[in-house]
Amino acid sequence: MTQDEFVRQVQANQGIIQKICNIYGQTRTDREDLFQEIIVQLWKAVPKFQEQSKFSTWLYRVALNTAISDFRKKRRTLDVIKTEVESLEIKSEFIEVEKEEKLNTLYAAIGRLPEIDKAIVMLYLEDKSYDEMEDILGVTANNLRVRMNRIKEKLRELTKNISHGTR
Amino acid sequence: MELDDMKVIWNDKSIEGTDANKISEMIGKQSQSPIAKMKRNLRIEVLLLAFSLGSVTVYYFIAFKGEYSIIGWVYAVLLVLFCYYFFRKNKLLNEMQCSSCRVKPNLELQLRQLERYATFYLFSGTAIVPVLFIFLGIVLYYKKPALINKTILYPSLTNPVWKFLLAWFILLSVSTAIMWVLNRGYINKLYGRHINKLKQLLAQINE
Repeated sequence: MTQDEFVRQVQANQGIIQKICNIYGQTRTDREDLFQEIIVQLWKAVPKFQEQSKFSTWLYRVALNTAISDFRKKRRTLDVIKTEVESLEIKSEFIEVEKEEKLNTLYAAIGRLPEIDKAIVMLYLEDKSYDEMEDILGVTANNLRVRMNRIKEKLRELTKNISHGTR
Repeated sequence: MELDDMKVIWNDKSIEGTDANKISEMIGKQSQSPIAKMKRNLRIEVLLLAFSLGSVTVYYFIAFKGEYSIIGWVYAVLLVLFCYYFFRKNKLLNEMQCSSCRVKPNLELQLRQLERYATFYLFSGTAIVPVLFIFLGIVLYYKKPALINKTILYPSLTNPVWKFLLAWFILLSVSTAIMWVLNRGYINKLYGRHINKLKQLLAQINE
């Protein structure tokens, strides 16, 4: 894959990377750093990319591996994170305020999940099948189904707390 | 809020994009991952040691009309040992990450390799003490024979073999034990948090 092809592919799939950064980065700087790190890791991993697998599946693997293994100290305390997560820069021209609020609440709730659960819920929201999720995470589909039910329950609780302004 | 209802909003493509030039620029930047930083630190260590040990080795071969070339040989052997040490560390670091792999096997690989790396660091960092003492003892034995009768570290007519062996045993075991404790604390400070975090992630994934 040439550099131009790589850039084109990344551009076409950058929504995935942005969402991973939004979930794993607590501040804007964290998210920008993580975005850059994912691009660097993707480019380094290009020689290992086998054309028989989907580019997006490979991208999910590299991006999630990078985000989950990113042990840099986070820049802000939890109180500030909450405010920043809630003010994610999502273009609001085409989304009604209510939808935007819901999405921000969801991001804030996902931000409070453990790292692995964040990855599972993100793939679920991306409408990946459990088999695809297994192919990306290396966890059996059955296990993922069970965990997803628990995560849904946890998120319901978290979003309720966030909407009511409690922790 | 039901998660399934959120899928439509989630998949709305209205997230701000990054242009192609910016992505191309990012490709050329250095990785800031812990493993990339460890590799960079290792490269600096190699350069510093190669320069300092290499110059000392050459110095002892050339200076004093070659009279102290034995010390040069000692340093040359040390240099070879360090080369192996760096080669092994570099190999472990190269095998530590497989970002194209599935998440769980990648975390398992990272943990396994990092623990190997830390163990190798601990053993080699500790073993260097007895190795250096023995080298120094050999050098002094040949170059300062006058010392032999003045210290219990060498066998002589007045110093029986058991005393000489006991002295070395005490010297080596005490210094090695101290080095072991110091190294363990240092390595734990360097990699302990990283290892614990990986264990925590694997515990989460195996839940």
